[in-house]
Amino acid sequence: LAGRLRLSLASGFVAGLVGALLGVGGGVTLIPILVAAGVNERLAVGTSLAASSFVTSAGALTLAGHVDVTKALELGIPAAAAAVAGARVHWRFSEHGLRRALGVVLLGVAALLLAR
Amino acid sequence: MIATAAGLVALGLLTGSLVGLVGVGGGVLYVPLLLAVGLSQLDAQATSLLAIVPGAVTATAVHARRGNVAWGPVTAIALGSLAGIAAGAATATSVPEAVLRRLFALLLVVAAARLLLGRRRLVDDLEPDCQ
Repeated sequence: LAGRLRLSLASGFVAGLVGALLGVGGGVTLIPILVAAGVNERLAVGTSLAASSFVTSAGALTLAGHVDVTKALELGIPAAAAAVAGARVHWRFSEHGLRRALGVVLLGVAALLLAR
Repeated sequence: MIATAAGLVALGLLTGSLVGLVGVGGGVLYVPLLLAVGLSQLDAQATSLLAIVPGAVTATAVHARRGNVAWGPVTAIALGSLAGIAAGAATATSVPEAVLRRLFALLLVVAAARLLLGRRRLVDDLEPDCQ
């Protein structure tokens, strides 16, 4: 149990560090860590989301001077509504192609950022 | 101004759909979008953190109702994250913008590799929950 507590604290540190340093939620770090630790994926995703809610809120507060609140809400609130709809229709899609397309888009964005 | 707002709302809807469909986090998409509308790397990242909150809270509520949240570990992760957030924020605000941009680009490459090469689809388990 002490080991699990240490793992949770350490994974929280990593999630907070990467989240606040790069502006992303905990999913990038927490889901792989939790799954590697033997947590089943469903529980890993739910737990990661709950922890991410805290990490992103605390991160935004810490960096409050750099947050454009209006733009954040213009993006975040429609996204929250659309994500629910997206999750509902998820099963209808073979999202394999979509994942690949998104992967290519992210590589393109990375290239643009590196070239800047 | 209004055009930008409408554009962001539309992009928010699109991003949210992608998050719901593919299961990737919003941050890797929000930061480039916010860069595109003129924010600096640091401001885009900080704003992205707040933009993630509504979707993360909504999704957490859905998962919690299904018993898919282990609250004990969440508490420990949250506690552990405080030191990480302090260190991450201090680093983000002190390194040059160009360094931050390259670090973020590296994160995008990692995320892209997971999308392109990953065999496991983390959201598969959620399908029955969403019916």
